[in-house]
This record gives sequence, structure tokens and C-alpha cells, in this order.
Amino acid sequence: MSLLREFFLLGILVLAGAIVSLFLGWASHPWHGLPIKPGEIRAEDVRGLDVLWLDARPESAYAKAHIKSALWFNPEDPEAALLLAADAWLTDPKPIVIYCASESCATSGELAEWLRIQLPDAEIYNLQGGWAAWQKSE
Amino acid sequence: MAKIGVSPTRSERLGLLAARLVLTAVFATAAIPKILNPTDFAVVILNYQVCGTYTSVWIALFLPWLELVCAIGLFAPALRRASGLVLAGLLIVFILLHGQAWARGLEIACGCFGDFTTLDRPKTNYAWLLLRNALLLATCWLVIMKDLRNQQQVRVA
Repeated sequence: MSLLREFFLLGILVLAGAIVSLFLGWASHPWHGLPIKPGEIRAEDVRGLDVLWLDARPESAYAKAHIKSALWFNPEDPEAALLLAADAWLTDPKPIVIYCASESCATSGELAEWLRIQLPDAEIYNLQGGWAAWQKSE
Repeated sequence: MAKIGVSPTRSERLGLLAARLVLTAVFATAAIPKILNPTDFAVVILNYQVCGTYTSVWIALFLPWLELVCAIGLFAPALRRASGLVLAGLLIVFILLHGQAWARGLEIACGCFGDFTTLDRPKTNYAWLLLRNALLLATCWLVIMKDLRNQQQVRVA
């Protein structure tokens, strides 16, 4: 069998596998992009909106670069960080969006859940994909 | 000197079989969690910061199946050479991806064997990842060379 035929056969089998994934519901339709989880918001959806940004990355990363007007939310000391965030939110109530480094960093998701308990009247989101997704969307 | 009619020794055959088994085990083990969790895998790809969201989702759908089919294909005469070449190509891509992530100081999960998060895990050891992939690439190269040489011998015969 020629090498070209081998590659063609491989392609057919891979395509069949991908169809199986879609048919069995293991994979969502890729043309819809990354599925969004409850409480998350996409970078492209939040861009340009007036929100209170909270940066839950390490201080060194925050000092290097952060979303304009974002407050540093120390994940090591959330109680103290909450005071700053609550003060900013009470002064100017608006939706809060918290982010960490990237999607694989779960810090912001956990902090968002914790903040919803601490500030039950606030509208709180976790930025999907975090800082990495924000940079990508620029 | 032509090797027509020279059959491989028993140790050569065993070595080749072991190489194929290692590659198949590694890639099949890597593929299955990704097939079952394509969304998490797409996020891992996104974190490498080399492609956008939509590209990540498409890659997450097809790449694990490519790994699985090629892993099994190493034992299928009809797919053997192409499978070896594709796996070698994938390993080169992985080495480049890990290299750039290391150079950029990205603290992300490898995503290699279903490790989709760095939460509660030690930091990604890029040196180990590069070494591991280089060893797998060398193994893959041996298998490819043997398969291509066998094919040439069959044609000449």
C-alpha cells in the first residue's frame, strides 16, 4: 500500500472517531467555540463594559501587567482583599469580574464562588480563560 | 550492501516489538482522557497561547483520535508507516510547544495524560517533558526506519 493511501486511511479513521465523539455527546460542536460554564463570562463579551475588575494572580504578575483599573485581589489573603473589593463595589456598584492567569488556574472560579457568598447583592463573574484569554482577545 | 533476504534477528524483532508497544501504550493512554474530556483539553491547548479558542476546540476534537488511531496503527500493516511518521511529527510539535511554554515561563498544565489543571499538582516540569518526548521521538524514529527499510526490501524482492 502506498504511503499516500496509508495517510488517507488514517484521515478517514480519525474523521470517523471525531464523528463518534460528536454523536455520543463527548464533544460539543466545535463551531460553537468553547462551552461556557455557569458564572463565567467570555473576554469578548465583557470587553468595553463598565465592570469592577479583580485580578487574582500573584502580585508579581499583577505588577507586570493587568487589565486597566483592575484591583489586585490577593488570593492568599481573601479576607483583606474582600475589604478593598467591597469598598470599591459599594462606592460604585457594578458587575464584578474576577480573573486569574489562565483557564487551568482555578483560583478565580473558587474566589468568584466565595465572593458570591460574601457579596450576595453583587453580580459576579469569572473571566473564562483568565488573563491569557484577555490577551488573546485583544 | 543490500540486505535482501537477511531476516532480522530475534533480539531485533523483540526490540522493535517493545518499541511499538511502548509507543502504542503511551499514545493510547494519552488519547483516551482527551477523547472523553475534549472541553478540558481545549482549555489546555488554549493555555499554550499559540492559537485561538476556535482552533483549540477543533484540535481538541481531532488530535486525540489521531493519537489513538496512530497508536493502534503501529501494529496494522496497512497503517504502520504513516502512523509512525505522524507520531514523530506530533512529538516534534509537542517538543516545540513545551519549549516555547518553558521559554515564556507559562505555568500551565501539560494536558499530556489527562492532567488538565495545575491545581493541587506540582509545577510543570518542562525539562522532563522535553526529555521524555525526545526519547519517544528516538523510539519512533527507530520504528519508522525499520518499517521503511522493510518496505524497500519487499519491493526489491
